[in-house]
Amino acid sequence: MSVAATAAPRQRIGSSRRLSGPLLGFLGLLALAVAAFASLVLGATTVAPADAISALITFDGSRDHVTVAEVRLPRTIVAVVVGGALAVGGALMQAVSRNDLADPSILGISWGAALATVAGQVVFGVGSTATLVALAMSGAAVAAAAIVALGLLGRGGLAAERLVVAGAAISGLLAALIQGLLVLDRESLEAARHWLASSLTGAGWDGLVATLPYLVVGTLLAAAVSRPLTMLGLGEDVASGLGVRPRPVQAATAIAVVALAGASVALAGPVALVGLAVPHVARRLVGHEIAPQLWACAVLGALLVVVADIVARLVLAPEELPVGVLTAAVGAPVLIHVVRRRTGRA
Amino acid sequence: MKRILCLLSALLAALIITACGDDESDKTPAAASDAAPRTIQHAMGATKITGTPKRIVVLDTGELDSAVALGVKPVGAVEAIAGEGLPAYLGDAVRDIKLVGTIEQPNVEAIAALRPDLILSSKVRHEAIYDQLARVAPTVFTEEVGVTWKENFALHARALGLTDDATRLQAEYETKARDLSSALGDGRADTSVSVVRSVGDEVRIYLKANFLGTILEDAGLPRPEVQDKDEFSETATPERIPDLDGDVMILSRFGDDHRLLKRLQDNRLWSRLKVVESDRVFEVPDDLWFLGIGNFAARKVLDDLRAIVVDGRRLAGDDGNPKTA
Amino acid sequence: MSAPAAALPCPRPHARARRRRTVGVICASALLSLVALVLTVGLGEFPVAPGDVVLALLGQGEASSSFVVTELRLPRALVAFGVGAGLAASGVILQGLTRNALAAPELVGVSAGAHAAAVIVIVVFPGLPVGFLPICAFAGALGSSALVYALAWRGGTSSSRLLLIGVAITTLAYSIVLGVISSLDDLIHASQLVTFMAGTVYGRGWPELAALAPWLALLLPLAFLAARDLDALVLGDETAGALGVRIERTRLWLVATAAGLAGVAVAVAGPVGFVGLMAPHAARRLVGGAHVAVLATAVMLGGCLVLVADAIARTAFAPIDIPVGVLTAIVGAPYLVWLLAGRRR
Repeated sequence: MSVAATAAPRQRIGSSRRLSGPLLGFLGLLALAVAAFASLVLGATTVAPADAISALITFDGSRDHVTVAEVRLPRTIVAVVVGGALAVGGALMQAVSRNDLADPSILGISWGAALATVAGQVVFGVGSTATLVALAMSGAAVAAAAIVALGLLGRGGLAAERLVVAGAAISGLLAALIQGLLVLDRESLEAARHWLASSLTGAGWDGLVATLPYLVVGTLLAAAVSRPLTMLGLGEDVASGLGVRPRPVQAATAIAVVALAGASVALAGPVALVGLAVPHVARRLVGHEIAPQLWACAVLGALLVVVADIVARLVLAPEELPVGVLTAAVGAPVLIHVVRRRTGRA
Repeated sequence: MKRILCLLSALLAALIITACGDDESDKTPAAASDAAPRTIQHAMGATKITGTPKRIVVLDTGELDSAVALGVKPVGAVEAIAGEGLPAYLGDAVRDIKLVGTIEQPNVEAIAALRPDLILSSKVRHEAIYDQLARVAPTVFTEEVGVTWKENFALHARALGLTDDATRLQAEYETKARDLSSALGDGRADTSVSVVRSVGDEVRIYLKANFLGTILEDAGLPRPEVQDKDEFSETATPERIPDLDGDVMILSRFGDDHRLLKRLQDNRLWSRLKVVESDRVFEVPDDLWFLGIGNFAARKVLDDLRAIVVDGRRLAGDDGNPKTA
Repeated sequence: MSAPAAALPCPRPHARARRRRTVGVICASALLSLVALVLTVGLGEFPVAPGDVVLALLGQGEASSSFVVTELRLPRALVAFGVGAGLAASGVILQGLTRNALAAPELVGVSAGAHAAAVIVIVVFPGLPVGFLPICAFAGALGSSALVYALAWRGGTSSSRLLLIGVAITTLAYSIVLGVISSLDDLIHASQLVTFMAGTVYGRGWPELAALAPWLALLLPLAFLAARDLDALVLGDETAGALGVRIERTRLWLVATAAGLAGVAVAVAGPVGFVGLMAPHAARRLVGGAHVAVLATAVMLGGCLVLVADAIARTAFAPIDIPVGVLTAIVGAPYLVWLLAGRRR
C-alpha cells in the first residue's frame, strides 16, 4: 500500500524541481532573515531598522535596544526554533509512517506533552523551566510510545485517514483532560488559557537553554536518519538489500520526533498544524529525498512561525493574539488542499 | 410630701432620660421597619424578603465581605479555588462556614441542604443558575462585581435589613479616604500609583474600572497616564515594561506560578523603572486587595495604602525584594 | 453490515427472529433509560431513594427531596439525556451518509461549527437569552457542514476526504475559539467559556430543556423518516438511485438534520465528545444494519451514556462539578483507539 501511495506523487519529482537546490536554499534563508529582522523591528512599538541593527552590535542600553536585544531577539529565535523543529518533526513522521497526514499535533504527541506540563503545574505545582521541559518530553514520549505500541504506524498499521482520526480522538481526549484539570484548579485555568492557544509572549533565553540538549539530540538524529529514511521510502525490501535495517531507523526517527516536538511544546505550547502543512510545501519544492526535505522544512517552518508571530503581535497591538490561531489559519487550508489533491480512496 | 417630691423628680428624670435616649437611639424603631417585609429591586427583578435573614449563603468574595462587614456570618460560601478555602484577610470571621462549591460552579444542592433564607450573588457570575437559586431561597443579585462594590454593598445591606449599619460603615470608608487624601496634601500630585498583578503566565496592568481603582480615586491618588483609563485591565508583555512605571507600584500575585513576572523582572528595562530605582515597589496581599471587593476589605486597604504612601512603610510579608515569590 | 431485513419482500424465519431480537434490544434500551433516569436522579449530596424519586416525579413526594429531584436534578438529567440522544442520532446519520464508522459530529466539523458560533454569540451578544443559542449553533453547524461538504466535493464526496477535511475545519474552529477566549478582557466570561468548551450540563435546568426539547421533537422524527433512505444510500449510489432515492437531495436533508441535531446539543451543553461515535457503533453491534433500529437504539444508548456520565461527574468530587465531556472523553477515546486498532487493514 505504502509503496504505491508514495509512487504516484513521486512521479512529480522531476517536474517540480523548477529551481535548483542551492538557489532555493538561498532564497529561503534570505526570506527567513528578512522575516527575522522584521520581527526585531515590529511589535507594540516600532524600532527603527538602524536601531535594531545597532542594538545587536553596539548595545547602549536604551529602551529600544533593550526591547530588541532582550525581548524580541530571544522571542524570534524561539519562533525560528519552534517552527523549524515542528516542521522537521512532521517531515520525519510523514516519512517514517509513509503517511503524508501525520503531524505531531494531530497525532496527539504535542497534546501529550501539553497534558504532562499542565498536570505538572496543577497537580505538583512545578515551577522551574527545566522541570517543565522534562515533563513535556516525558509526555511526548509516552504519547508517541502509545501510538507505536498500538501498532498504528508503519506497514501493517492504519491507513492514513484512520491514523488522523485516531490522532484527533487522542487529541480530543487529552484536551478534555487538560480542561478537566483546569476547571478543578481555577488558578491554573487563568494561567494556562493563553499557553494552550500557543503563545510566544513569555519566550526567553531560559527556555532555549533548557530545551537545547533535546533540540541538539533531535537534530543530530534527524541528520543521521535522513539517508536511511530515503532508502526505506523505496520499500523495505529494497532498503534491507542496501543494508538498511528498518527497526533501528524507525526507533531513531521516533526519538528525534519526540525530542523536537516535546521541545517545541515546552517552548510555545501546542502549536497547531505546522508539522503537517510545511512538509507538503517542502516536498513540492525539493522533492522526496529526505535530507533536502528536512532542510527545506526547517527554513519554511521557521519562516511560518516567525511571520505568524509578527502578525500575532500587530493585529491587536498592544495586546497579543496567540500564535497558534494563525498557524491553524494557515495550516488548515493547506491540509484541505492536500486532501483534495489526493486520489480518491473510499 | 418629701416622698411624693422624690417620686415626682424620679419620674421627671426618667421622662427626661427617655426623651434624650429617644433622640440618639433611632435604632429600635428603624430595626422594626427594616425587619418589615420589603421588596428588593435587583439585577434579576424583584424579590420579597421578610424579617432579618439569618441563614445567608454568599456566592462570591464581594458578598462574603459585605456579610462580614455587616456582622452577619453566612452559613455557606464558595471558594475561589477548590481546596483553598476562604480569603485569609477575613480571619476568624469566616471559620466554620460550610463550603458549597467554587465561585465558578456553586453546588445548588449543597446550598439547598443548608436551608438558607437569603442567597447573594451577581448576575455576571451566576445568571444561569438564578432560577434554581430563587426556588431555594430569596435570591438577590447585583449586576456586576468589583468596580460597583459600593452599590453592591448598599444592595446587600437592603437585602439584609441593615441599611443603617451599611451607611455608617460606608461613611467610615469615605472619611478614611478623605483623611488619606489630606494627609498627602500637595504631595498627591507626585504619587501616581501603578497597579500590577501577576496571575500565572499573565501579568495584568490594572486600570481604573475595578475595585482598587475606585479606592485609589477616592483617596485622590493619581494614576500613570497609561493606566488612567476607564477600563478593567490590560495585559503586560515584555515589550510594555515601561507602561508599568509610576511613582509607586502596587505589586500583587495570585496563585503560585509567576514565570512571566520573573521574566519581566529579569529584564533590564524593569530595573530602570522609576519605581524600581527609587525602591517604591510594594507587595500587597492579593486576597485583600484584589479579591475582597467589599466595604470591609476597602477599609483595610485604605489602612495599608496609608502605610505605604504616607508613611513609606512596607506591609507584613513584603521584604522589599520583589523577586522573592 | 447485512442487508436491511425490512427491504425483503418475504420475511423468512431467520429474519423474523432477528426482528424480534431488534425489538427486544430497543425495549431493553428504553427500560434501561428509564431505570438510569430514576437512579441517577437519586444521586447527589442529598441521596434520595428510588422509591422517593418516583413519588417526587409523580408529584407526591415530601417537600425537600421533591425540590431537589424536580427542580435541580430532573431537568439536568433530561438535558443530559437529550444532548446524548441528539449527538448519537447525528452520529448515526453521518456514519450512514459517509459509510464510515468513524464519522462523528465532532470529527466531521459539525460540532466545531456549532461551538464556534455559540462562542461568538456569547461573546458578541452577552445579553442574549439562552433560548436563542440553539438556533445560532444550528446555523453554525450548518455552515461548517456545508463548508466541509463543499470542500470535500470533487465530482462526488469520498468519506475519507470528508473526515480529513472535517478534522482540518475542527482544528481551525478550535483554534479560533481558543484565540477568542485568550483575548477576552472579561475574565469571568473567559473561564465560563473554557468550561463550556469541555462540554458540561452544570446548572442546566428547565429553561435549557425548553430550549432543547422542541428542536429534538422536530429533528428526531425527521431523522427517523430519513432512516429508510439511509438504508438505501448505504447500498451505493446506483442501487439507491434504482430504488428510487433522489440522492443529492436526500443527502442534503440528511446533512441538515445531522447538523441540526448536533448543533442544538452543542448549543446547550458545549461539544460533549465521543457520544456521537460510541453510541451508534454500539447500537449497530446490537441490532445490525437497519437504520431505523440503529437510530432508535443509538438515541437511547447515547442518552443513557451522557446521563450516567453526568451523574458520576457531579458526584465523584462533590461539591465540585466536573464537566461531563471529560468523562465521555475518558471512556470514548480509548474506545475509539481500540476500535481502530482492531480494524487494521
